[in-house]
Amino acid sequence: MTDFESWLVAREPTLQRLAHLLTGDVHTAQDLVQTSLAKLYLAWDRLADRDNVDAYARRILVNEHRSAWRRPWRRREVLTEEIPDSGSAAEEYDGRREAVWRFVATLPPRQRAVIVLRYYEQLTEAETADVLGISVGTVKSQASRALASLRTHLPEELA
Amino acid sequence: MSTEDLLGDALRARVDHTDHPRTPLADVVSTARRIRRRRRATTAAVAAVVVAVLATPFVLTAGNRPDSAPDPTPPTPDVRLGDVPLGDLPGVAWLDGSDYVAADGTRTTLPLDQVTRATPYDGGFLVTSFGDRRITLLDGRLREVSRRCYAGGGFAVSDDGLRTAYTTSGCDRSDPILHVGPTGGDGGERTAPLPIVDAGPVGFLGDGVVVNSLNEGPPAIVTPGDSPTHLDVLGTAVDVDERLGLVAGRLAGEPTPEQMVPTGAVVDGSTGMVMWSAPGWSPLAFSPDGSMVVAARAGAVPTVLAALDSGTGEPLHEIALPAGVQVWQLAWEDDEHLLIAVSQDRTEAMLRSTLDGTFERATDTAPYDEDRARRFGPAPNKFP
Repeated sequence: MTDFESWLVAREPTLQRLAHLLTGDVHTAQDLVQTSLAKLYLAWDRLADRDNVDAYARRILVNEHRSAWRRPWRRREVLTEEIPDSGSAAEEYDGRREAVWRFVATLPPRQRAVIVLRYYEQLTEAETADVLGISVGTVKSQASRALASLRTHLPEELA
Repeated sequence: MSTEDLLGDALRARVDHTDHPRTPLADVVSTARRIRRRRRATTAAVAAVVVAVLATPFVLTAGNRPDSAPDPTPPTPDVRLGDVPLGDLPGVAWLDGSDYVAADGTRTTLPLDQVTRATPYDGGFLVTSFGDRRITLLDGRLREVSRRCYAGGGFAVSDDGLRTAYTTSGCDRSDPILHVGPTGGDGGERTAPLPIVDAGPVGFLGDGVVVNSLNEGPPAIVTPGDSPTHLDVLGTAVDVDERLGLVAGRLAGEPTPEQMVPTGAVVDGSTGMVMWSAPGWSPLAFSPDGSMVVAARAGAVPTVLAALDSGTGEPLHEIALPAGVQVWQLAWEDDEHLLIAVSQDRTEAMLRSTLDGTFERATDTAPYDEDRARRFGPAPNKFP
């Protein structure tokens, strides 16, 4: 098994989960991951710092997703308020979480990426800014707006 | 539970127990091959560059738009680089290995190997080298003053030749900065934070500099001491006509995902308004008098260049490149001639082309090795 193949086996699920949160559905996520993995595969031999492959792969995936959302024919899909595919979420997925997920699905792509990187990937504001190629101030303002909006949108009984 | 915790909890619950299909290695490799083929097909258009020279005003006819994509590619001449007749050396600044050759023919041997870009700056030179993401500032005696990571690569020189812009950042891509300084040794460099990472300068626009993100964000106009503005209508900027305030580039988005055919456009830099767009053409550089934009036929390995009318986007002249050449850099030598750095198999040279497609060599030929810096190219250039 090659280094790349070993890494793929171990780390692909992490990328799939991140892609799922960014795109909103399993199938689009799968396409995004496949393209991102292909780009990583092409760069593999040039990666001097193998300790940072995970971060590099995450950056590729986020950039690839960003490229996609900039394309008009994709933008229409991403901004829909409907969640295209719920996947096979666990039974414990309750009403409150569902409400939060539906809210996240309505966020503009960049704001959604900020939320996912900050609160799922647990990146710092600076790390999030670096991955997305935006300023720390923009990360702060996007996250702040999303949180304020979430508080407004969540039904009181679920908040 | 705080709102932040609630978010994290909901996101984790959404995906941590979801069955995500695995991607077979064979599918990854297959996709990688397809991407590699596509990259090879578009490399030349992306790598083409411009030498900025003096432009004179002309009257624009705004709002016109060519009706359709270019006609099918005409046959390309089957010519070997070594058989192309040798003419005069380039009439604009160029690079010959580690030698910076000024427009008047003065040679300066730079103390670096595998030079990819060089331009006069603050009485010395800014230099980049193959395989090194650092930009070296040399003083007038060619002694190293500084060596920093560059943000997006490339240099932009103002039309009057007095100002040069470049970008730096931390080697971890943090804190990208635009530098604008004098070409001569007058000191007085000004800096401004860049709103986007991996951004390189494209050209001067008033007091600002158009910078282009290599990371697919929209170009921005950055002015030291002022807030940046974005040219959201463009996906990529490739050149600026400083006097007319126009920016050439490719529109944001792509018309068809399968064919990756971009739409070239010229945009008013002050309003962001699209003056015209030309599906299937990828603009590269304004002519010195500003009346034309040279463009490559997009969507395949460029075998045809065209001089488009800057005011309307209409093709005025088409140039069929010799068969099998890879275009690496391109610059207008004057309003009637292009300098085109090319390779063909294992040979490279710089060609001079008239607008009717008559070629001569502006340099000798040299062995071409894709793992080393190319020997010839116009300077400054904007992309590696």
